[in-house]
Amino acid sequence: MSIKDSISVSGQFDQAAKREKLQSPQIIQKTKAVRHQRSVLPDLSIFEVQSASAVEGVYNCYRQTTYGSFGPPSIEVLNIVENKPFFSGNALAVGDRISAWQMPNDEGTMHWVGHPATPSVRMARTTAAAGGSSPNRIRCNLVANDGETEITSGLGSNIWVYFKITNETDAPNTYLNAALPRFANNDYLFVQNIGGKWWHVAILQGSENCVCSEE
Amino acid sequence: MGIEVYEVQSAALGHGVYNCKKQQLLASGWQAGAGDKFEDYDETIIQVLNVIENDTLADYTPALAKGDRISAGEFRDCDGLVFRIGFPATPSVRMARTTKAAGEAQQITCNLMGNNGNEITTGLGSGIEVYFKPTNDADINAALPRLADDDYLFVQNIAGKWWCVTVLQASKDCVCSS
Repeated sequence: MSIKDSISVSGQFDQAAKREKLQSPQIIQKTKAVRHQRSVLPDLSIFEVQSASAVEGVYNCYRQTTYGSFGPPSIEVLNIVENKPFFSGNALAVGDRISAWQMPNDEGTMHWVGHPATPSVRMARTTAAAGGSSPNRIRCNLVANDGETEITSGLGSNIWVYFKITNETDAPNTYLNAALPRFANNDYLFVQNIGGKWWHVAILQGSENCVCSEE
Repeated sequence: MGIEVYEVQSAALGHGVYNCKKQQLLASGWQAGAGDKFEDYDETIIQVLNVIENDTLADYTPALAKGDRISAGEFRDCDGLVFRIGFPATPSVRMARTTKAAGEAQQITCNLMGNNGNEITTGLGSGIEVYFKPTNDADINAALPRLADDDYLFVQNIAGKWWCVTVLQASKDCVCSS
């Protein structure tokens, strides 16, 4: 888009705002009198993940209240960040929360759609040592949102975490047991789900073991 | 009006503002294997502010790419002007791919990977400068991991600048004694 087009679009944005202003003089007067920013607040609810549904990115959840969990029955909620994963791994774990609102689909049916209330980057723990075969991955358990508890069963447990090692083009047969950092069983690492696949969010360097010579 | 979902088409003038199309949730999308659950509602271009990019550096690079989605609501300021402001529906750390090998610098030009898993080679999200913080202020051709052309890395946009989220270790190449 050219700068001229951008200015044109910006002009549309400004013109729309001006029309809004002209059409709602009473609101403007009230706003000026109160002198605070108004916003339209949607009906947001908080949900807690119980399990994954068969639909990618959709979870069976219990609605939350300040008094605790309100369920069963469970309610399906779409994690919009997982709208169209190109792999099949779930990004959320049991106990994760989603802030969601209702949206109609093109047939008028309402669905809950939201954003996860969890950090994108999570801690995980290996359940095996780095191996020597393709693909470069290790089985791990996520750590729950309390920052301490390893998820050893159900959603968030036993996930494949994939790794990227430098120089893949020229050295395609470099495996995790010949890269640094060298992961052992029960090691902690930082992971993020991208497109339905869990990745260790640091690049590994291919390495060659050798004997240190004494000075 | 409640929260709507928008799809980024291009960057608008003004840091953090994007030209977007409103999205429609599809009935056909709510089933296993359906793929994208949204499609364009119409062709109208609407400007949306990514609130995470509200306050950025003067030397700014957009944090979003074409095809990214933003969940946004309407906000009205004291003068009654309406703005759409929202949060991106993308992970904060993204995968990118180098377009050259590490050189005598602390940055490399890269392409982001799109939400479909493909490398973005043109337009918004392509040709971004990714910066590094090696220990000892080393150049990245004297640090590990040593990035080659077409290598993948993990990046995040912080205040309008893309950073590799791996800290590189300054290094010196030498020959292994047998």
